Amino acid sequence: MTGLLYKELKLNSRKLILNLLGAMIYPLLIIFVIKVCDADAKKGFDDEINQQMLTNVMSIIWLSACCIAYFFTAVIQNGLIPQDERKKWAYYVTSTPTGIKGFVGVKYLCSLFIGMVTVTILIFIQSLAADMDALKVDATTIIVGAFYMQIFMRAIEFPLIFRFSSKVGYMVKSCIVVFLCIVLFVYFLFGDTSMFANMETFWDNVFKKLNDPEFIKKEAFWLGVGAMAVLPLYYLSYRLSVRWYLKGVENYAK
Amino acid sequence: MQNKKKTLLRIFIYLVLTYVPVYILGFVFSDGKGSLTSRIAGFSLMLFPMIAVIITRLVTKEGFRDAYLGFGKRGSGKYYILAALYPIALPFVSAVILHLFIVKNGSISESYFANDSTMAAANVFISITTGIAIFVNGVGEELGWRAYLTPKLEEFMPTPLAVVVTGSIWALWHGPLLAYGYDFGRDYDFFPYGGFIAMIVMCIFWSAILTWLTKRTNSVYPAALCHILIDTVLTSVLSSFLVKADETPFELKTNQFWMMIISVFPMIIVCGSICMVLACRKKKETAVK
Repeated sequence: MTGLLYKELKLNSRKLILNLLGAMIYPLLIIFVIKVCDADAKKGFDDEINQQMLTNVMSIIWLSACCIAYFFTAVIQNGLIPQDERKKWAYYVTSTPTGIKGFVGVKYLCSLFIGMVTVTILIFIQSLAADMDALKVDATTIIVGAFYMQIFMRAIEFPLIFRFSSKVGYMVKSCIVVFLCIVLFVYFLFGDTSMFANMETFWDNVFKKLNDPEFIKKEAFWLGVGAMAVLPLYYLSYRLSVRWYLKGVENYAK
Repeated sequence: MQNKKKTLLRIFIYLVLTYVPVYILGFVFSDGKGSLTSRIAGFSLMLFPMIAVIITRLVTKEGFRDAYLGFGKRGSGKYYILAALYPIALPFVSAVILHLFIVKNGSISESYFANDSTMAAANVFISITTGIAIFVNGVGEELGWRAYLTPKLEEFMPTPLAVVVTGSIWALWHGPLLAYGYDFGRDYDFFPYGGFIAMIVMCIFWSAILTWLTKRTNSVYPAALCHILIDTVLTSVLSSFLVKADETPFELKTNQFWMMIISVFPMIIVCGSICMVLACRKKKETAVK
């Protein structure tokens, strides 16, 4: 298994470094922009409510930067499997002592580790922003939450890729996403959308909820339960991928 | 002889590279209360042993062959589970001892943890999941102490002594923080020397547990998982046993220093001793075979 891990690192080292730098640069740039804009904006706003509003807006911009960092991470994670989609390699790796379990396991562990490195990078940049006085909120829980969200998405995606090969796997994933979009669209057409009627009151309600300790308590609980549930789900996804691997090999083009 | 000299040189380079940045950051950014004013300095402290190992291995052309970077031997799964369970059990055992012997008025059922079950569960879950998410920080320290320093010291001394020396060096590495009251506060006799001694004892027994995990699996990751979960779970969970439901602190019979020693140390010492015995017994069995 260590050998397979070494192979992954050796084959993807440049891609890994470049993508992680990509994940790092965008939030870093955002922090500098926030720092400059914040200083300029403060000159215009001297009352407390506007200052608070400004802090909220800056926090949302920072969270969007985190999302883009996770997008870069997703690109690396998704690239881990297709590079080994060759029948010869698949049958060779099946015959090794490490076998399918080791091969699939390394893909899962690498994906997990890349996500962890992104978390470290984002918390590092957030700490830098706090030291520069550019960011007044601690988004660690949200960064960690996004990490588990990403792991959850990989847990669903990887078995599909292993079962149907990357091409068909991504198509199946796209179909699921399109289906969810249609459900959302139908909801917006026929469901209760009164809360979005006035965007000003909508954001007021969002920030009011975020300042409500009872709401935060419940959310923290469900966030914790969700994140804890992702880990066994990720393991089950691995077991499923191991089971489906040889069936998926038949779909490989080469 | 030549090899031993090389090993000594490697240990020296590693220790210089680990100690110097941490001592500089520790004193420059100290808030005078055992913590740091700079968040980036605080967050990056744990990564310095890993950076030091990488530089040392590159400079001395040692390579990464025996860096314990693999995922471990077959059947290592149970050690990963143990590595996760120990830090979760530690604050609860400590809380029981705390309420049996140290809290003056009130019981464990009156604590914030027992009263607000939603928040208590959220606290435990979030601290565990955060620990796993920032696992890289755990690897940062363990790659230096258990996967590099201990095996190097074992070339000069038996394993138990190597564990004791690693634990002591590891404890003293926290020196700039301890000097201002990290972990044990400031209101105790012999401040800050008492804190240094307590930290050395704690780190020796933790070092025994972490070394045992590393040796049994031949991998640095179980120790890293255990380490980071201790850091995230212990403080957040134990602190909710120290306050009442209305968040006012319980009155204690002792100061923070003795509270830590009486409540947290027993489980650390018992588990550390067991791990030390297990590590030595395994070595003897191998020698007999």
